Amino acid sequence: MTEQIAVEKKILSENDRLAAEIRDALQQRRIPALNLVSSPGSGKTSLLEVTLKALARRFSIGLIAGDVQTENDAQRLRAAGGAQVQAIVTNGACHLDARMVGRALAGMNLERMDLLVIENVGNLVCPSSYDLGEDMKIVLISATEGDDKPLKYPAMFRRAAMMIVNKTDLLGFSDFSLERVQNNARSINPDLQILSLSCRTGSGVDAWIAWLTDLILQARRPSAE
Amino acid sequence: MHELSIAQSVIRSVLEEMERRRLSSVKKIHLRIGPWSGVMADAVQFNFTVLCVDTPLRDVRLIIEEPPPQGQCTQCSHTFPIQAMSLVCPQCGCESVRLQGGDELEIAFLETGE
Ligand SMILES: Nc1nc2c(ncn2[C@@H]2O[C@H](COP(=O)(O)OP(=O)(O)O)[C@@H](O)[C@H]2O)c(=O)[nH]1
Ligand SMILES: [Mg+2]
Ligand SMILES: [Zn+2]
Repeated sequence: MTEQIAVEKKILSENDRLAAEIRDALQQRRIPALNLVSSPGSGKTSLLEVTLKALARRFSIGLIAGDVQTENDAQRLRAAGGAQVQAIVTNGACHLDARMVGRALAGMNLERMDLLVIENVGNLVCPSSYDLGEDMKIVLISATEGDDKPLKYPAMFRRAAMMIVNKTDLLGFSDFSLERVQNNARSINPDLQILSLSCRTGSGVDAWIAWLTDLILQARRPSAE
Repeated sequence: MHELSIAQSVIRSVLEEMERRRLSSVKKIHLRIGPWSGVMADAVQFNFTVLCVDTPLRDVRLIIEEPPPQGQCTQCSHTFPIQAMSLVCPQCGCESVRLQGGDELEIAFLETGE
């Protein structure tokens, strides 16, 4: 006699539990949290540098920089100034998980934080499986990559709330098409918000900063109860 | 490659489940891993086999179902499995299709006994 025993449990339920704890802790303090993901080199750290330049005087920003081997990104962000920065070196692991983020947060002052941004490890596959307690995933793609990336990495583009196309200063140097990448992304995720900008020239950055500012101010507003 | 930690989580969960339900052994473990879960089923299978050698799950068979994502046509409501990223409704030919599922990463059930 064989017997079937229903389990119906998420494989990453332990990660999800820790992520839920993080989400609670952040929401209690009205801190919006973003999980920034991309392939290596799309410009996550550059975008954060530009963001600090625009917002660090006005808001207290917390940054967690994940990296496989080094603390280089965290050092760049500390050099940019004005933010609490924690590094997570994953020692080879291809993604951040909620346990690592929880540990990093334990070393940060949440009472003085208006926004948390987590720079994930450069990888469009593995980070899609791990909830870090963020409010939303933002996926970055640059104009030097293939505009079919949303179709190749549907898991990530489906779970993201926003896609940012970076390095628009390089549009025209390859056959990357802004229209195609938008169509491909929307076929995977019709609700995706899309921004395009250049961290190099600053073009389009205003819209990103305005969106972030709005996110922070909305989070502060007491909820109607 | 995070399939190693995925396989570890499966083993940990199943051992917990066995203890909770006082099962002395398990024959098969059924997982559901969607093609859009970000996890490769083959690699989970491989890591599972390697990791199980020193556990009570040594002789267990891991069976992985890979359910295709479903599309639902926004025009005629027809629901169909998505193959190879073609997002066209096979019934009415329209291209406005909502995607569902495909990102499962779950332990479905265990089998015990002979
Ligand atoms: N031309 C151009 N290069 C950029 C832009 N943004 C970033 N880069 C460059 O792209 C490289 C990788 O950027 P980085 O921020 O380290 O990417 P990350 O790995 O995603 O954090 C660096 O050499 C940046 O200077 C941009 O808007 N235009
Ligand atoms: Mg970086
Ligand atoms: Zn139809």
